Amino acid sequence: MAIDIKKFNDPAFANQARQAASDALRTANVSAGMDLWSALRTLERQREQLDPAVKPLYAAALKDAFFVAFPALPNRVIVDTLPEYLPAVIDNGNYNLLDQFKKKLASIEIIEDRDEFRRLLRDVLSASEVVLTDMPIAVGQEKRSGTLKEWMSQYIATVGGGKTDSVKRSEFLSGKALSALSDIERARVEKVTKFFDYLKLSSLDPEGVPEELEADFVDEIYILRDGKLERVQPFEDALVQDTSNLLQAYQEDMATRSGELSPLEQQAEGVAKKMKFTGAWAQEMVRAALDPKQKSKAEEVIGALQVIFQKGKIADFLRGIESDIVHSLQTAHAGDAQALERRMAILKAGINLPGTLELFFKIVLVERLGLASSHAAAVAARLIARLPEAERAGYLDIAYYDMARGEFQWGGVKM
Amino acid sequence: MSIFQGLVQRFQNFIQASAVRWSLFAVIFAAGILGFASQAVAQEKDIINILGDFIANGISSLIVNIIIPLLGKLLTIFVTILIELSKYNDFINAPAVVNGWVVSRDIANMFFVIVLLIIAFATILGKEEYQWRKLLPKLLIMAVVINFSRTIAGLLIDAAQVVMITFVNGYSAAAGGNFANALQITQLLQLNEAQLGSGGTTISPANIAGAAIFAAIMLVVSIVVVIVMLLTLVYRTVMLWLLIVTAPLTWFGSVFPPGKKYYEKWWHEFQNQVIVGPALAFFLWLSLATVGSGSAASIVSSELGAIPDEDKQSAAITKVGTLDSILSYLISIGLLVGGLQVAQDLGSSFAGSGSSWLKGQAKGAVKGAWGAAKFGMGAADLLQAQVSGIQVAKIPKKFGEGWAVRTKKMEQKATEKGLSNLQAMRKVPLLTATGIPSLLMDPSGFAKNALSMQGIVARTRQGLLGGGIDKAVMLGMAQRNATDAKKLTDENETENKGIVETRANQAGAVQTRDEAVTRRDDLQRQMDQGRAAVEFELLQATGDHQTTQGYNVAKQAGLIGENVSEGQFLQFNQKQMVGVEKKAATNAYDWRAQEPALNAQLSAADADVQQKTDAAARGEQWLQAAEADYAAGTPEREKREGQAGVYKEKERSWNAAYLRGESDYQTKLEQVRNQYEQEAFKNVDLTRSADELIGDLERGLAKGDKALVTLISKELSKRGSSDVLFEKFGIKEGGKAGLKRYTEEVLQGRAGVDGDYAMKTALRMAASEADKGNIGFKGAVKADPITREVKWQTDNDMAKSAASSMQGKTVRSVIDSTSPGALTRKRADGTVQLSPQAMGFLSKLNSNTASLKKIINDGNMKPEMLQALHSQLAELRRLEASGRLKKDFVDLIETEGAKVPPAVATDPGKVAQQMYAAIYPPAPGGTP
Repeated sequence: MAIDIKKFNDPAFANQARQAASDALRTANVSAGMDLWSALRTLERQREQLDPAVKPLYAAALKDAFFVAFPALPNRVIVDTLPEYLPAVIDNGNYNLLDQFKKKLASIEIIEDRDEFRRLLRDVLSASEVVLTDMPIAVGQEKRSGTLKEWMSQYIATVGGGKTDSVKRSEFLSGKALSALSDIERARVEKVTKFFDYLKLSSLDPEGVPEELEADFVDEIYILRDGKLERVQPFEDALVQDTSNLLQAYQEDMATRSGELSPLEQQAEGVAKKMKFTGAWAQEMVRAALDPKQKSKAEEVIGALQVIFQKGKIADFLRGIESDIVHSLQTAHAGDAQALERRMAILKAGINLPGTLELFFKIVLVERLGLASSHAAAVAARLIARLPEAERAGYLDIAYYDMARGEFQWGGVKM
Repeated sequence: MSIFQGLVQRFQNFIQASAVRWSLFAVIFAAGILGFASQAVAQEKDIINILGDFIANGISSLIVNIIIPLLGKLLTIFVTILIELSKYNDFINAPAVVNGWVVSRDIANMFFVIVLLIIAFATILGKEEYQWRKLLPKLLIMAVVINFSRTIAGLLIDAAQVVMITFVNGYSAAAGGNFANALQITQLLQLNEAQLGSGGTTISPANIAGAAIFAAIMLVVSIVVVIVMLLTLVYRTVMLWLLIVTAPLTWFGSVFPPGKKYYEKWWHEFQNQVIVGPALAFFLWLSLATVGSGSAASIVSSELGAIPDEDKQSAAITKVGTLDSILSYLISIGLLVGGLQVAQDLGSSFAGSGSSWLKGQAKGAVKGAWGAAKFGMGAADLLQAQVSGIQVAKIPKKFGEGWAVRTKKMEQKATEKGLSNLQAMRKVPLLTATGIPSLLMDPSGFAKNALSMQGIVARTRQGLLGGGIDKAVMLGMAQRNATDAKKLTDENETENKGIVETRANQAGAVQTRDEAVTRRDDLQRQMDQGRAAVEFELLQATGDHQTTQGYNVAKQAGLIGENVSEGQFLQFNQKQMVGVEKKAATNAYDWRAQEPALNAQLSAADADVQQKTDAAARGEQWLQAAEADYAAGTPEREKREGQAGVYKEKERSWNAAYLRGESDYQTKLEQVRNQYEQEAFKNVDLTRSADELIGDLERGLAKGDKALVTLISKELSKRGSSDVLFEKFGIKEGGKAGLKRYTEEVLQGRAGVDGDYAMKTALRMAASEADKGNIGFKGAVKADPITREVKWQTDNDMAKSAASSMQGKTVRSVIDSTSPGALTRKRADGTVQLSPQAMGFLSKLNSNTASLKKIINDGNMKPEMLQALHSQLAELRRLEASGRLKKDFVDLIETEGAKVPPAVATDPGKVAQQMYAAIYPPAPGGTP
């Protein structure tokens, strides 16, 4: 691997990496966190080549990236790395280990794997020699080292291996073993044991279900959160009602503004003006766009269509390019006789029919220019709006604005 | 306890007193009005009449429109509660009892140790009253008995309830109607038409006011009687709860001499309350069975029935004012009050004698038990040993063994019962009141099914999650939907039928009016013809009868044919005229004879026409109002029709799913798919970057490896990288729109994944993204909780779902758990707009501006989030203009959003790419 180590040794670059990991953590950007972790982990293998000045920056960045990428990391990586990071993860107020762990569990699709993962982590924590507290644990007259392993052993001895009883937990936390600890160390033990308690739950126990589960019956929504089942009445709750009203107002506003041109159409208008398209030239542009062998620019073709539609007499225009449409169809459906036959049938029904114009739009805008279907429908609707009023009425059903979806739809005109 | 009793007693006294008071008041009031009216007649007749009518109208209007409806409603409510309360039968399982009794029992159990100590000391000190020989037997028995006190009390109550429920069942079904009949409610405001006109009874304002006052008095008396019965039952219910709760402590107290009186009082009260219920139910049943038909008067007097309605004496113009109605009413009230009194007395006397008997039995039991204890076990010695440390005798081994065997048997029995209950639960499609399978409503069942809906499966058959919902439940849901659909259809039919009937009634009223008019017109014609005949005679007398005037009169009197013209009449010969004159003489004679009768008939017919015309006019108004109501209800009926259609469709699909046994099939299919994905999983390095994984996905597409494509798609969504994935396939939309296109175009279109599997993959992708705080995906795809069919949700559903998940959370927690990028979504044309889910977020913030301000000031809101909202400021202003957002909220976003610098942070994704470029620098040839 020919790594560009010079670049990595640049303090500015190292600082940028450190900052990026920190920003990914702050914005909970798992996607970027995962990519950063992947890159930093590869770099870690070459750490001996790094300058001592930048090493801590990359190490800190790796820790942040590990934590933010936690829900997406493979189980094995977490099991291997977590004990080492655990004291730092617990001490850092920006890390919410339990929350991230729940997200990680929620991403596992097989229940037994969730429980298996919990078990693996339990075993790892119970066997880890990582030092959790500098103060030793007082067990009777005996003093034991403050490693994770010893703490877990002491905790299990007090509360047992099954689901933790809160009384026993309080007994442990107020017990002799913790009495000599500093506040920071005590908080550390509290957090680790809380995490351990969650690891002990089964994923089939409602309290152990990591995700928020929702079921929407006819008139009621039930949500399972942290083991508790709550009932929500969707239309009675003020927040849901406000949301519904706000969305309706928003949808109405979007509908009234659906005639506004998209950036691409605005650009097309500019191109048409700049290039001073005439009717014949515009028709040539469209003809070229229909030719599968040629590549056309979307803004130019749409600009040409804007000029054509402004003038009207669309049936004449379509008649003029009928052979190009047929040729385009034959090329596009060379291997699919049935599809070709279906679409040719539309053309045969009559060139002046709305269905033919819809077919033309779909060929040019969707298939040739690659616009998304709803965007193409929006462009088509706004092109039709340019037609002279008398002619427009016949084509209004081709595309319409669907308020509930907030986008344009094809009308699916019947022949 | 005594307050309640006192209250009941006061009410009973009040009934007796109140009937007299109210009657007196009514008589004085009516007399006052009459006196006032008669005096006024003598003095200023007209003015006083008007004034009197005015006052009477006012009184009747007040009573009929306000007081009687109010009293009527109260009576209905109290009767309904009375009936429902008398059916109540679950005393020992009431929450108050369950919670209270356990505490009281535990306290009593706690005291045993203390009491043993006291006995020990008393024995040492030689206190006779507290000697162990005296107290220990009782104490031991009580130690056992108080732990069964709830069961014992429950058994005794149950015994009484068997009797009570027998009577309750006898009257409950028709009790409402029986009460109404017995208390003459139906006749309170019914006009006694038979009495009108006789003895000067007319519909005058004063009479109406009198009838109204009369009705109000009867209602008040009825309400008081029903309230007293109701209070007796409420008192009984509450007392029984309290008595059960206090049983352990009072029974325990009986061990000591000072506690005995409380123990006796307890038994007295308990028996009293236990007995009152069945006694009251019996008398209530008896009363309703006797007078439920509403004609109790005939029981005491057969003569009354023989008197014709119009000849009966009546106190008011309403039916309730008649002699037999009042008598029936008084008998009914008497029976109810008498029954109540007897029930109370019976309870008290039985409780008195019963408690002595029970006490005797209890003493016997104590003695017997103690004898047995002494004989076989020497348990007292053991206790003494525990207290004093000196063991007098050893417990025979058999006692312990017997107890263990008995406990084991009980446990076994309980387990068997529990199991059979559980099996029954599984067999029966349990539906809760809301119609949602109760199996789903226990958190554990809910979790299993909801996880399964989210595509979380179990690998093993044993741990099978969501083997789907039990088939029987499916069938139950189908049945429930069929019922719902029928209910809605029936409601529509009833309304349709109602309007058809109203129209028919009005048509009937119009026809009746027309018939009355025809009758009146016939009479008028007879009258006119008779008068004309007389007039003809008069003309004849002056010899002016064969003239134009004579012709007209003869024609009017029907003396000549319709076809005879004036010219012909004037040309009539003598013979013809004689014929006319004779006919005139006959007709005139007849008319003179009939005139008084005809006159009377005509005025009656006129009144009849007037009445029926009024009725038809009123009917027309009602019809118009009914039609307007019907028209107003049309949208609701259409909605119902639509909903009924939805229910029918669901019924059909659930029935079909039931028949196909779909749940098992789906589960197996998911397991197979999962196995394939697990295989694919082995060949992918999931530690690689998103770009590298997308490369693997494209290779999977080229190879037609569906499992690899779906696996990597889901893995990328777990990272929150779905948008990056969409971009790679030229999909510019984010959130649900992007996911939908990806599912249709890539998963289904290019990878050839079948529709169901593709939707399940989309479901997982949306759930994973939503878990990362990307609310743009929240609720984008949902599975039906029953059929498990996966569907795309509308924007409204998604917004609703996002808002639901924010319910009950703090603004801070909502802000923390929301990804800034999720507030906006990219449209297909590349523009950015607010996402539907952002509407939930905005609503939450909009109603908590003060908290939001604090969060921003404390630096706890991500700058990117403020930026995202600020970028949509124009839209927020428009929503403010439409009244949906508050000005101070939008102002806050404008002010604070402007403070955020354009680039607040590094782009971590880009930095990662740069790092990759440095790790894998391009080779001299140009390719990395």
